[in-house]
Amino acid sequence: MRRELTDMGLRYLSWLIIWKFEKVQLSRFLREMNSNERQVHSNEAEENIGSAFYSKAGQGQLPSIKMVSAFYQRAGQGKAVSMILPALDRKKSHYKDRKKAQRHCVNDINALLIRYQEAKIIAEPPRCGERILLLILSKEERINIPGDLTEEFAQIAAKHGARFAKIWYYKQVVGSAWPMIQKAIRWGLLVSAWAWVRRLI
Amino acid sequence: MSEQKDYLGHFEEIVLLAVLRLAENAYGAKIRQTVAEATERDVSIGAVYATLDRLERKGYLKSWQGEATPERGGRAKRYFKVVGAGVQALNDTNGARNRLTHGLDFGFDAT
Repeated sequence: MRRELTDMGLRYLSWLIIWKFEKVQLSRFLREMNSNERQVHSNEAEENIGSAFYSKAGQGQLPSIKMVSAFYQRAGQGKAVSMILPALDRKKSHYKDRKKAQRHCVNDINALLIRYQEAKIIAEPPRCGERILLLILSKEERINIPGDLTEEFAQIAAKHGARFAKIWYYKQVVGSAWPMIQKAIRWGLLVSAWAWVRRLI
Repeated sequence: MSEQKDYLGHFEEIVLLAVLRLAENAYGAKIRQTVAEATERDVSIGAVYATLDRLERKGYLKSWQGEATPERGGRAKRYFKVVGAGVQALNDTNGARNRLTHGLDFGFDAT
């Protein structure tokens, strides 16, 4: 009786051990499988993002920051920048919030974002400078002169950097103020002189 | 009595020559760049436009509005072209300068 009980106990114990072992194995297997599946899904998603990035950038549209992040990991910074910069020229208001962009991106993307910021600045001359310029210009000059400065600003920023371009822009505004004021005074004097002559006649 | 000749100011002459040199591509930004490169100093766009307006009023230039491009923030270009009177004024100014400098020794090698 005792022997039977011992056999039963041992059998139960061995079954318990096997069951436990199998359970552990099974859970590990399931975990690995899930992980693999997740990896597969993640790779697929990245693959999709990469192809979407190509199609968007190829069409001259600006891809989302998530797409850029994935593409950056796959293709490297140089390629991502060279593909995005032409698109950035078309859509300037993107990537305004750099901190938000950084949160969503890998750390290495910082350099890329700085280029984005520079590209954004390249396309947009300082607003304050532009407003001052519009104040001193006459109505017909408000189209051509800011346009010329914006065009040159982009070229200078691409060559010497955004900061240099900003300083250049303000120098241009200050330098343009005096000739424009002189012109306005001359016209004002002419108009008042004409009014005086007419009064005499 | 010969007809009265119009002589250009120094900066007017430079701007007019820049417009002549740029030919079909003569608009504000390009003219400013050409003048800045030739004079080796940063010229303000306002000074260039003030001179261009003056030259146009004198009848040496004509201008017209061009196309608007995205890199200019959607603003149109204003193209300039030297007309016959402008070329004549350049010739007159150059002739006067040549007559005055002919035979003069500046005391240094100009080349």
